[in-house]
Amino acid sequence: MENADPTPEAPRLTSPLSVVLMVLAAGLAVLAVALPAIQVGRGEAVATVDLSPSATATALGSVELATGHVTATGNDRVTVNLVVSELPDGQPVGTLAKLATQAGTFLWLTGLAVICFLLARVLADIGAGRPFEAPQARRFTLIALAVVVCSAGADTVNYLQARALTASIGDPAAIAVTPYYSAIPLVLAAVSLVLAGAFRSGRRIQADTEGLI
Amino acid sequence: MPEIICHLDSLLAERGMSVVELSERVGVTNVNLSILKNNRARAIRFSTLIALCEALDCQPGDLFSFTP
Repeated sequence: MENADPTPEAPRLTSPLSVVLMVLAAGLAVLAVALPAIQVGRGEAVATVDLSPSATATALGSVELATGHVTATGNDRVTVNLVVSELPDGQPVGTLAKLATQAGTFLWLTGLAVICFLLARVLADIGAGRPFEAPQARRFTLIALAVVVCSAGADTVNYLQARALTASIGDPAAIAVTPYYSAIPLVLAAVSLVLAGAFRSGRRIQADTEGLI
Repeated sequence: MPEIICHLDSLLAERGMSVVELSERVGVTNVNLSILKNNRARAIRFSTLIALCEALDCQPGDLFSFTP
């Protein structure tokens, strides 16, 4: 009768993908700080503006602002980049305003860095032969939270900043800025929560089989 | 606290068999047999139990007893 315990494959201490993700997380964290800093160094504030569909057709041609103050570029869709180099009274755009327009970018990049870091830790534990360590389920829950908070937070901040920026350059009614929230992050968060549940079940099953002879 | 007590050490002593010899006969590692012998096992497969009973020529009731 063969009842020998299977010899487990020697666990790898680090998974190559986890190292890549860790490097990516570090890069994103640096970018999250560097991009707003670069923007502050420039002389203009940039906001991504989602125009309401009804306003799109008229906004780009009808906004009455002094030439050179505002450049709106975009395609036929409702999203345009609003670049403000100086206010209508000739004053340059303030540092705080320039920083504020980058808050959404900062949130997104920070969120991505956190997600990459957590995924790297998940893969490292899997690579080390400990797929169902206690923190694994918590990491996926945190990833879901990061996706939702950073996505919704970035969209909200972008909307508020775009609204504030359009208000500061003239008639806010001329450009109707609308909030935009994507459903994709919600789907990703749901997938992450499902994975958290799967890892939680795996942890329970592992606990049941520990000490099985 | 109620527990299951394993009598593997006394069965081995009665038969003059070592843990190493038993592990070779039943195909279970020394480490796992020690876990079983020291009452630290949380579960046992029927296949392991059958192998132990065959190797020690005993019944499951000879291997384990329940202490309320």
